[in-house]
Amino acid sequence: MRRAASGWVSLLCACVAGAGVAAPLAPALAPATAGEAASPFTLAVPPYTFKFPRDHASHPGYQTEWWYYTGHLRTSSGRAFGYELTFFRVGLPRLRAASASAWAVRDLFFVHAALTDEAGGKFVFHDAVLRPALGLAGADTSRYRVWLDASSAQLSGDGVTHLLHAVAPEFALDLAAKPLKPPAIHGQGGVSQKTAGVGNASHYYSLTRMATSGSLRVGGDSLSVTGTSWMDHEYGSGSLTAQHAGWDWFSVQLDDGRELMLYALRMKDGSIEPLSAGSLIERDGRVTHLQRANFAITAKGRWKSATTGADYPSGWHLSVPAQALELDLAPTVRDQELVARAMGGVVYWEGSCRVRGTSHGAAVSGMGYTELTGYTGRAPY
Amino acid sequence: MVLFRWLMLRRLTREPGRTLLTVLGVALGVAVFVAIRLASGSALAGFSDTVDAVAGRANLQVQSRSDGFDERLYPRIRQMPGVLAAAPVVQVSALARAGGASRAAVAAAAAADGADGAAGGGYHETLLILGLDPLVEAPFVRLDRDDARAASDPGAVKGAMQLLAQPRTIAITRTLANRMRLGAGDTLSVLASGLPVPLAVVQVLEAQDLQQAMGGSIAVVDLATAQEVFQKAGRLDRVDLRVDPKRRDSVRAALQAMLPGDVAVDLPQGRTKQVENMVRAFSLNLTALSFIAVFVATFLVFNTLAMAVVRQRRDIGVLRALGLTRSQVARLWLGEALAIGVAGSALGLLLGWVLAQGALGAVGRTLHDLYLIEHTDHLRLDAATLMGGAAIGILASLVSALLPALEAAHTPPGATLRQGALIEAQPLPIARLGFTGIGALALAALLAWWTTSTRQALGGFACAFFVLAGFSLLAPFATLAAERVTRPLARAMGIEVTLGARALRETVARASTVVAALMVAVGMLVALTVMVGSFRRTVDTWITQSLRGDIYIEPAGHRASAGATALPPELIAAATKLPGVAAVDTYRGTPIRYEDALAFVVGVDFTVQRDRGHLAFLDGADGAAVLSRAIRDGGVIVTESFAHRHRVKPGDQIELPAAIGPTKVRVEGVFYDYSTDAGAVLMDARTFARLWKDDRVESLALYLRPGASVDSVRSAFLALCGPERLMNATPNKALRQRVLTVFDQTFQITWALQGIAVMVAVLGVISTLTALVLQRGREIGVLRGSGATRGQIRRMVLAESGLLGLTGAALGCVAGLVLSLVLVQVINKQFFGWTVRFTLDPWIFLQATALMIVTSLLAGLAPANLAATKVAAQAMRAE
Repeated sequence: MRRAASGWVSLLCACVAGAGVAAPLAPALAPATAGEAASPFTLAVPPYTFKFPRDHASHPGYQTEWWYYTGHLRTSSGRAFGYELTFFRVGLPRLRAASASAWAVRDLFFVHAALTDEAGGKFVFHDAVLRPALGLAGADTSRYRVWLDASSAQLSGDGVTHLLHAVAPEFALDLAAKPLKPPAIHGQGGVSQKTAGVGNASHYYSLTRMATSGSLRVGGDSLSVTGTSWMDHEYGSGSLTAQHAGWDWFSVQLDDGRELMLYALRMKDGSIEPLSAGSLIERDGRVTHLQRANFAITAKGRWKSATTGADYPSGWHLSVPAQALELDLAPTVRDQELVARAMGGVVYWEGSCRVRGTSHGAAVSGMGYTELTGYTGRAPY
Repeated sequence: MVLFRWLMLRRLTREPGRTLLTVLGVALGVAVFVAIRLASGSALAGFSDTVDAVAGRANLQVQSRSDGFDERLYPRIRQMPGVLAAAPVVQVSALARAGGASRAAVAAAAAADGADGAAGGGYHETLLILGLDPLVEAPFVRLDRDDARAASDPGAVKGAMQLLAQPRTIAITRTLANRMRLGAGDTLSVLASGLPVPLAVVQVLEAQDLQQAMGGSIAVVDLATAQEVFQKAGRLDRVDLRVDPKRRDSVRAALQAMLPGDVAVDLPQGRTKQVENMVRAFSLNLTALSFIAVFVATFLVFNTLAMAVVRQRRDIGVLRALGLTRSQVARLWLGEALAIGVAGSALGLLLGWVLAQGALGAVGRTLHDLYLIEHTDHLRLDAATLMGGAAIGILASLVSALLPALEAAHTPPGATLRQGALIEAQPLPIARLGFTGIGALALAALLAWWTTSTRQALGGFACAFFVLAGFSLLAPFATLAAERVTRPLARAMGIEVTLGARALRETVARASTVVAALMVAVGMLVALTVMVGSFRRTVDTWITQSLRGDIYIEPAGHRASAGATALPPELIAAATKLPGVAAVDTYRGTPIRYEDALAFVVGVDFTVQRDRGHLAFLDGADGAAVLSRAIRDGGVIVTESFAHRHRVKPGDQIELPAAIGPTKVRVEGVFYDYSTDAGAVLMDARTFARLWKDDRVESLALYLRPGASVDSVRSAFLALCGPERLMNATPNKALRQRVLTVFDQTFQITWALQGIAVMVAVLGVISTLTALVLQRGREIGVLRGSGATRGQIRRMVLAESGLLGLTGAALGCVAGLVLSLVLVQVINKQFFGWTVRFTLDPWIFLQATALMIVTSLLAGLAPANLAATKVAAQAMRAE
């Protein structure tokens, strides 16, 4: 489960279906409710078999799709950075007939880019939105390439390495990330079910360990960096319900060669969505699906944003009893909050964390990324 | 101060009528000046506001020099280093109405429209529609109240997303929503190429700038909607930019170097500046006219004060004998002038404000017709104009009081006591004034010559001023001459008429100021009538010659939408095949920027023009040959105004900012045209389509076979268009009428001014005669005493006023003739580049003379009564 954009989709549906639409149009604008034949979008339903490298590329039949890179970088002198580079594709309700105008599009593209300077305790981010007109933004369907303005992610000529470019006012990234493991497929039958209802799901895989090198430009410095990245790619057409308040998502790369992904969907009544889930990825790439009962997440502290007033948990204990895995996560920088203006002010916290803990009693450590949404008191978009 | 109160205020209050008239004269002059400045200033400010509002927070704009540019330039502009934000814009004007486009709704609105409704359909609102990409608007703050709220205002985000996601949606300003009684969820229909397009209102815009511009008649649609509805796919009108302010000049230069020649990179204020230049001519013209009202008012003040000096000479003599110095006396009179000036100015400002309300509509319409500027209906006060108006009123009063004040100051103490009340001013140096007048006229001639050879616009107006000044200085001479010439006639009419005429001779100094005022009024009346008449006849001849089509067809709303209009090709093809139709001419035009001035490029079917049109060329060239050459070589013909403004002659090459890039074309001919003073370049439709990559057609002209009925072809064509599309199909005769109506509208303000000048002059007659009658109280008393009847006294005064009117009219006719030549040959030709054939209708002289004599006699009635009753009785009692 990842990422703010799914909320964006629900907002969009609500908008477009909302008041102000001429009566004859209204039925056509109803939100894409799960299972309804009226939905013009493909639903994520099992069974689904991934094909690579094709499935790295875009799937415009689904309403929502995102490519999400996070990672931990280090200069030769040991200066440590965390980064995030994300592209979202959001399908608009299919209202426009074929048009002579290039601006009559079926999707919108968003980019979010963030940089955490661990030593400086600084966090900067940038977000933008464009429509895929005149080549300003877009995603290819045959070969993996997604871009918006000068930022892009694509598969290099070797068919393996991911090339990332992020251009933001305050920093720029130019990275090559080579997967060290095959894609880890989350969920069951190729489908990651988010909540009850046919199609309230996505196709979701991760490249959990990517050897990364390249350059980073920040504050007038151009730095050579190496490190490890994590890539998420998810596409689907479902939505959360009005009872959902938000979610907490974690990715952990352990020094022992294993990775862990967990998410908990929080309900407005304080409970956790029973379909919340996770995956444990072995050294050899084997994936163990974790159900709600197989893990526990405990917040250990809190951090309140001066910008948005959102009150976030800060520092967590993750527990996977069956694996005797007990991990503590601590943010490298407390303030890693993004206010995505281009998304109409979507607010979320996405930050790099240091990981320490035990596996079967033996000490383990690693690095992680955490995502927190729905803490502003408003709808999580 | 005590003295002032005693001497001046006493008189002012004792003669409230006369004081009021004088004040009113000043007020009228000030009012006209203020009204015209306010009205044209407001129209310009309205335009400037619109530019600002639609520019949002842009600090640089990329815009086409003609009809939009290829949208594929946008990504390149966006990626230029130094560009912080870029927003693509399609901008269209269109007619709109509340409600959907259902047949019933249209019929109801049409019924409410009355006779006009056939093609109107109730589309009364002209909207400026901005096609924007809501996703990149945040830095420009057009869709939101301000930045701070932009991110957190879910309403604005929602509205923006609906515009983008839903086709055929629109956002309108709060002002417009209130005026049209529309809210989110309602429908608004716009006319696109005559077809009603219903748009769902999804958002009401609260941004302050948008409410003020164009009276709030601004709407926003998504870029895709704008391109779809107005058939502008692939083209943008503008890209608004926010660039690093410190690097603005270098970014601008880099962009200009990267972009093709038909695209300009301007500061947002640049366009306002251009329009200001265009409007300057128009506004200057009107301001010059308003000065004429002030000029006439000056005569009035002068006259009133000079009379007062004469009548109060006894008081002045007493004061001088009591030890008052000359300068004190002079200051007393200047003080009075100041009081009149202040009162007149105050009243004038108020009156000007009222007049401006009326003038604004007329100025706005004219600006729209001449310069395609969206009109404004919101009058704004501007301190500089108000202060300027007041200053002019006060200064004019003071200046005109100078001579009377000096005369008063030169009154020898005691002398008056010996000589009695009536002392004529120092004898008027009539000959010297006359020679100065002739000198002024010579100077005017010199100016006329200089203006024609150097094309200095102001020269024409200076020339007109010196003509008026010259004839004013000739007024005393003319008054004496008139008395001399009419003496036998007066004698034949009886002793009282002779006495009246002689009285005029004795008071020539006063009388001639009134004569001068009348001269100015008549002169302006004659000059404008001759000029407008000549112009109108020239235009009429031109339309008759040039507009040879039998039916002219344009979609309703074409005038508002202009280039964003395209008729379906199949409709044009079908029209060609209609029975009775011999040929179809097509029209497509675009404004361009040529040598930084506005001009138009027009594509018409030159073969139809060659075979059926009758364009008249300046050098008398054979039209068919010129057009054949133009068709063959892709050449152009230009209007006289274009040739004049840009100094172009047949055979020259001109470079046009075409869509395919700057292109040199050969000028094959220069033809007479009065449709726009901006100037136009005409080319064959095929040449236009090639240069502008645009073969759309905005409007048509149908040429009928001999014997075909205009009515039946017109009905057949409208049937072709179907019931949905609203079309104006105007028969030749009606179109010609409409052109003349527009022409007449343009000169409405001129006539209003004219009326005011006449009024001020008539006030002068009343005031002067009253003064003269009062001054001659004793004489009248003697006359009555020696047996003159009341009727005779009355006739005596009327004879005086009649002679005043006659003299003023005669001098005015001559001045008017000279002035009309200046207007036609100098101002029109040099200012607008129009050849106007000078045609003289002698009736105007007769009319003006009769009008002046009658109004003078009417103006003389009250003073005559005064003389016959009150004054005579008083004088007799005194004796």
